[in-house]
Amino acid sequence: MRRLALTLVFSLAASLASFAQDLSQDQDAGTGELPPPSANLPVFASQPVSRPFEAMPGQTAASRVLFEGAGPSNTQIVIREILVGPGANVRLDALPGAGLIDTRSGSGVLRAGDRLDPLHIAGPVSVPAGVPLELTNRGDDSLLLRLYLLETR
Amino acid sequence: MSGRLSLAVWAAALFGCGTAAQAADDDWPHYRRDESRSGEQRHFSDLADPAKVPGLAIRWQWPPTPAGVGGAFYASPIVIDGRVFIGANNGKFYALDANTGALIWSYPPSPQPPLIGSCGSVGDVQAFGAYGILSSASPYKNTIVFGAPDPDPAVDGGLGSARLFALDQSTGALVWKSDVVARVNGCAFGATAEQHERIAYSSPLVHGDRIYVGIHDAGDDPIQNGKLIAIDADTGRIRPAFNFEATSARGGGIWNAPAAERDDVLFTTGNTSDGVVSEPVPNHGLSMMSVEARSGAINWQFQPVPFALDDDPDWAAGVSTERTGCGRIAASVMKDGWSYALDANNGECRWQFPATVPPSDHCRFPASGAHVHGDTDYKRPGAFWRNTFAIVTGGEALVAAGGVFNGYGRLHGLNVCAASPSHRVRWIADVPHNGGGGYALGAPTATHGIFYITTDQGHVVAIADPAVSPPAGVRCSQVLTPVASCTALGFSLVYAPAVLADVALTDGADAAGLRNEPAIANGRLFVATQGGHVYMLSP
Repeated sequence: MRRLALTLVFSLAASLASFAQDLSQDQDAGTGELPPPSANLPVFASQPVSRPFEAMPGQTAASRVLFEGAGPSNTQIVIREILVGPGANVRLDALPGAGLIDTRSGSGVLRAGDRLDPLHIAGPVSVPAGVPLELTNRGDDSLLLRLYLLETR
Repeated sequence: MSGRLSLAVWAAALFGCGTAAQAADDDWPHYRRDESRSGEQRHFSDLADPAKVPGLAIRWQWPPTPAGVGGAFYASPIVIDGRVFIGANNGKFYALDANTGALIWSYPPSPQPPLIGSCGSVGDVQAFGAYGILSSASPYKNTIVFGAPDPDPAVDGGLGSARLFALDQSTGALVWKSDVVARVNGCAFGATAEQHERIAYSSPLVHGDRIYVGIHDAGDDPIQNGKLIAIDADTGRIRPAFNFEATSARGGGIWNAPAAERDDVLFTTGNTSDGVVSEPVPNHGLSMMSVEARSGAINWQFQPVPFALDDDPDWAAGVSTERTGCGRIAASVMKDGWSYALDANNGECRWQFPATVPPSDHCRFPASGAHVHGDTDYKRPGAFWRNTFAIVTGGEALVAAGGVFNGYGRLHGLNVCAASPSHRVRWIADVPHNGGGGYALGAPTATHGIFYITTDQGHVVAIADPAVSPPAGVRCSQVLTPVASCTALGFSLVYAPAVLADVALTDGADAAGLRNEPAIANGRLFVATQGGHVYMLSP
């Protein structure tokens, strides 16, 4: 009887130890954020994406062409997206035709010549041709703009 | 024997309170494993060991023949006490031996007809009444409960009015059929004078002595009034004291498995605008809801997309809840690709991903919003692992042109408790697939930092959180942006986690059906395919 009791006590202790090990196995993993990725890590070759953004040389911005094709009455239509980094100021060459800028995320300001326009979601802004443009991201997040350009050929 | 299991054995031995049919800690007794639909197996096993997972391999296949069961599995297995339970779109429900894959019983027994109504083509997942069994079962005491159309001609002519069926777990004998909960009384597409109600994708929730199931439609032809029905789990009778209807007219279908959170039931609802000119009052569509379990009274409602922007971004994925380091969280994704995490106690929005509306709007899009909220295919629930939530979601490219498609085929690991949106993404895994769009991947499940997911290529893939296994590399949190300019443009460098295993199932059939998930039970993985096979895998 005593041996049986000892066996039971021993088995219970072993079970408790195993239970505690289960709990502590990876107690802290997954509870906090991961450290920033090391610079030594290889850049992951992701599955191909359709029309990735490309950095705009010398600017804290990236862009991509979504559409380029003939429009009506001897015009050319170009649709581009422009990503502007937080706090960045980006200069664009004067547009060859009239355009429209639609803000998709973030907020900022457009300077077209002497004109200043706020950029925000659901607030499209017309852009005149022939004047230098300046885009300023005044937010902490990226500013994503879609530019619809109509130029005469 | 593991610690938790051995404690359970001890408790049973000492107090005599165990029964053979009770689910054990390491079983997978519900869709998403538990009533909270966490998608997480907390019991440690070889499937949680990064050193052993690469040895993952198929141990049995049922049926062992290439032909399958003569139907497709859109539901997932549940595993209880050494048995695997699953239904197919051929209207048959099966019990298998978890060790061997041998068939123990099937229902209905021959020569009874399968559970398929006459309205539509047999096994068509969009049929009004002929869809068979499309969602996972749930246990109650010694029974197993699932929803299906009733072919009995005495029930609305056998068109496919649906009810719950409770079978004895050991024998497959019918214990009860519930009252009819979803009515089909006509087969004309778009007919508003007919009822085309279904319980197809709503896995029943067993909570206490009640069972809850959601009502939705088929292909919006036309949309039906969403309802949550409560059934007495002992008798199968509808509990009339419980009532929830999404609108006073039409819409707000409940396409998913309700979740339980203490005395509350949580679920999500579909659109209300399809073919409807004016907004119904009340409008509980496109919402995450919490209702009181006894009465159906609304505790809270979260509706991020207003009626004015309702272009059918149904909330098809259900709610997953978890007690995280930042409180009890209820999380899900809408079809448009935006994911949300709410305080499960009061419905307050903790975060939107991607963070698109200003904080002052509390994750709700203004009616004048510029974004598209359409009928895209983010339809699978996510899986929790502590403060990490893994889900197929639109991602940070969602607001860019065509960006909605860039979340397909990818699994995002999100930091649930991150204070800043810039820290939300923990990792992004590209999962090899056939390019099946929003149907490329099933719903993930998790165990101790290892995430399992099935694909339209008929693969099972194991992905390791970088906290438990070294990552494969680094990438930008916005997948359209190169790493070199990522942080300057306002995004974050995040991890590409390691893929520990990628196993091809032998039938090669799509394993990413709408309610397909890998069930993690007793150190084994159980998955089912549209080829009509069930597989058991282990390291």
